[in-house]
Amino acid sequence: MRPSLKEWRRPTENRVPHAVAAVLLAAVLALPPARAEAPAAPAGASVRFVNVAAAAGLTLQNVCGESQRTTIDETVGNGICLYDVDGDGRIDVFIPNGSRTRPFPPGQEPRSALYRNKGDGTFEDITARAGVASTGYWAQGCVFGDYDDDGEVDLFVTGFGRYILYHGLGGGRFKNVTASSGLKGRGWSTGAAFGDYDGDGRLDLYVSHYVDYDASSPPLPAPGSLKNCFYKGAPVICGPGGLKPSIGRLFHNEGNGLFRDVTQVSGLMTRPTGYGLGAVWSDLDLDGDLDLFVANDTTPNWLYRNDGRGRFTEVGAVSGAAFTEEGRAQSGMGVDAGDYDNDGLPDLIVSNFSHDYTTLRHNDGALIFTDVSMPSGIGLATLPTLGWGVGFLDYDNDGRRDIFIANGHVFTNIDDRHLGTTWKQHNQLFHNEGDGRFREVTAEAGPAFQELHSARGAAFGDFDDDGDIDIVVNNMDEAPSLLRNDGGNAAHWIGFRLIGSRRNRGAVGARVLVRAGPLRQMGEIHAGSSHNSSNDPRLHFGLGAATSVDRVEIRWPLGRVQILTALPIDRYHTLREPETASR
Amino acid sequence: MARRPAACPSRLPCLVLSTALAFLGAVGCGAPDPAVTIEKARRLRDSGRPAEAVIALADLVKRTPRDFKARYELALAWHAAKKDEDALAEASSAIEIDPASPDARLLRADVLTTMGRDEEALSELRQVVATDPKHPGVHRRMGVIHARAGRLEQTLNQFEKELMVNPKDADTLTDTGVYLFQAGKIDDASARLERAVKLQPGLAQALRYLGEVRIKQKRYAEGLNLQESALEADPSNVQLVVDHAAALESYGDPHDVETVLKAALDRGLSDERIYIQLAKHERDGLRFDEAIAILKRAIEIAPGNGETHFQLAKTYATQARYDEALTEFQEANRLAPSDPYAYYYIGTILARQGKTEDAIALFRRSLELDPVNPKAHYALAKALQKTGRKQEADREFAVHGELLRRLRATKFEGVATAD
Repeated sequence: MRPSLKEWRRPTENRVPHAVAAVLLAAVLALPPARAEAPAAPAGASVRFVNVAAAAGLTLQNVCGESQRTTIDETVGNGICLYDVDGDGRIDVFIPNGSRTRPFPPGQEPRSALYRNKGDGTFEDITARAGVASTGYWAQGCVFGDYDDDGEVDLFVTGFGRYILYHGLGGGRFKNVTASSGLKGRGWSTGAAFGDYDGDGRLDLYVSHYVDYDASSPPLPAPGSLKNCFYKGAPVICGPGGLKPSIGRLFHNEGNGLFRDVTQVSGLMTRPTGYGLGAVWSDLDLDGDLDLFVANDTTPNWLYRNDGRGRFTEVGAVSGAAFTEEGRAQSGMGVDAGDYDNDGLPDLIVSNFSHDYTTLRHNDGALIFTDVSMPSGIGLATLPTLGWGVGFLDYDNDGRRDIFIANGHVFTNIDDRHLGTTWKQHNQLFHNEGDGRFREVTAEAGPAFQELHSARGAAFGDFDDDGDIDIVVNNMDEAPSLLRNDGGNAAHWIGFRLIGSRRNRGAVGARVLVRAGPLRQMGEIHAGSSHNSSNDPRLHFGLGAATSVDRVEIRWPLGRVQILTALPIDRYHTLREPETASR
Repeated sequence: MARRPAACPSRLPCLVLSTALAFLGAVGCGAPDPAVTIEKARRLRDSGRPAEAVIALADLVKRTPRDFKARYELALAWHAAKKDEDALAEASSAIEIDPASPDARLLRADVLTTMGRDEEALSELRQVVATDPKHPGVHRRMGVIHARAGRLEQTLNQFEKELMVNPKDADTLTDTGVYLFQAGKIDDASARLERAVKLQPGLAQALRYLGEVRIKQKRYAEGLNLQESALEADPSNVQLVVDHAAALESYGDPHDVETVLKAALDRGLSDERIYIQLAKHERDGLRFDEAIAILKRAIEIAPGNGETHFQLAKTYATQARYDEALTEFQEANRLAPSDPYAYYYIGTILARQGKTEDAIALFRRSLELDPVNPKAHYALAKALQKTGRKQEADREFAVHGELLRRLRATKFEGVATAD
């Protein structure tokens, strides 16, 4: 494990004023070296998750093709996106919904849904007045972000045939501005993520694309109809292997409500060589700009190193992020970047197919990753499951990021095969033991983890503002699950909502370093991760046994550094980007 | 069996004579009938006791050195006893006695083939063809030799000639089908094997390969059924048991794997390969303790089998029990030093322990033995990268990438989603 001091020793960014750098250096020298051990953790076993979705009113029935599922477009499923869309301080939920090829009777077409958090444990369906139903559109994923810096969050939705960009009007209302946005996309788009890759203060957008297919394409092949369409001897849906991959797109935010496709000029892959699903922006090499990690299904993942000047180099293979430790490409589904070992460097996790493992990659620095799935305990425990939504979260506030994985198979007939895996599966929760190992606590994490669903997207956030992280999961052919965290707030915590000053108002890409006694943690604001999903944008830090926070350092996306001390704990702090660095 | 005496005019003298003959035989005062000796030797040979057959026949040859049959049978016995130099000498002597005999030449060709002297064998077989182009078995033998050399056209040509001689020769049809299957000509293989099975429904080899053909044709259930029939025809064939279990694991119901393997053990086939397959089945089902117990049992049965230690090591490694894995990989490596994969896995564990230079040496050794293993190139690249040898690492990364691309383009393209 690296000492957290490394974080403060990173190369000085060119955007950081020299004076600030000097202040930081002084601060570094004053810091005691990090201790290897974190404060004593509260018992993770006392945390229980209860699925309260029905009682809370999250009732949207998921539709994703026909229930028997014969083509791959019916298997990938939908995400979940969280944001306070109406500015009332509470986290609301957007649930994109799918559709099917066969027409629905009039009035019965599926729709997406936006639920307003009423603050009493229930939600109100405000889809109609919000204008985000997208009825008839076969959606996949979504991401919230204020792309025009007007202070009102916007919503981007992926799916088949086109994108949808909803411009936030405030008060939880949106207007479809796709046609005038320059966001033109055909085919099958999946995971999307906002991030300011070129440091101009505006949120750019990466959109993963999966198979080259949409409603205008020839029909997808039927199960068993091609040589690729078998799994363990049984005819199954075809693909993605054997079908033509599509190309992920990078759109530069031009600043006038328009986006420009810069996929080619920015150096991203333009040959269709990967079946893209999850995507996340993160400053993985701590050089002050956002790198891009994309999980690909059955093909090597991509890691795009940002040179800081708007150009990317794909370094997946040499970085260790593309393959397993055995040099094997996996079936990458969901992704997240988070610092699980508190060494100041964001690590990576990718969920994968059954009879393969969810891959935890430790960030060794200098953009080199080591596959630690097996020694960490994640690998073995995830072999029977097929993972989708995934995230690092500190569910028990012990100061270490744990892992949640939403699971469900793609083959509805898999149960009959006696392969040790099933269509409906338990979601999984792993407790971070602090020594590089994770312990699966699924069985002891409450009734929500006893339920079986064919889950897909998962998003993480504190719905009831009680200081612990809840989880919302989209389930195939069912209503979503809202996993309320009961007991996670037994230990102290601190949270931050960051507001950028003029540009990048959501502070996407901001990094917050929290020091509480010997405990050092790093969090980064992402807009888009997991599977087709995006999380509560607030950063949450468990404090373990610590009863105070010594120091909070905020590295704002445009380079300003803000240092705060003596902040009260057990609450969310809304912090606005200062015009100059402060202490 | 004593030779029946010639008919006697009266019963008493005959009785006296036969009693006397039997007495002489019992005390060894007279040489046994050569036919009796040969018959007895054949029985010994067929029942897996060729050394005893050799003793009996050697004595006969000593007594009758110019007896073609005795020398020929002795050559057969030596061949069965895997004493090919002696078999060759004896077959040559038989040919010397009767140069026109196709049997002795065929036998000499067989012995030469066993010894890897294929060209000499072919020469011998050509002499048979020159004498008797329609002699059964000669073209088939020539086909087998060509097949070993990978000469597709000649192989098929000889097999076809054999089938012209004997269109109902199920063995040659099977050989042809197997060869076509191995050459990737699945539909042609299918036609030959189907005919073989039709001619001889219980021919295990034909059933086995027709099963393989069906699996290649994605007719999985049919393929598995044929494998099952092959096993019924040849229930003591361990390789059939193992192959069928492996096919069930991949294409059938994994529940049946255990049934097949345990039934084989119940039949008394206590072979370590069955235990290894059973352990793999348990490991695939994530029942690691069971897998380990079974592999330890296999080691008790055949401590010198490197594969068992290798599989045990892999099972430990899957559980992140790297110290135990290392011990077992090292034992596998000691027992099978030409196996590239133990070097690779030992290297991965040493790399994990920070012994990067040792790991690099092992990855290089593994690649000497198998230069197209993408895993080893990748591991070598990562290890070189760790030691700062960027250029070398990049070269290895590039080779790894290229190998994966080729693999994907050929073998793995679109195998559902988990390659």
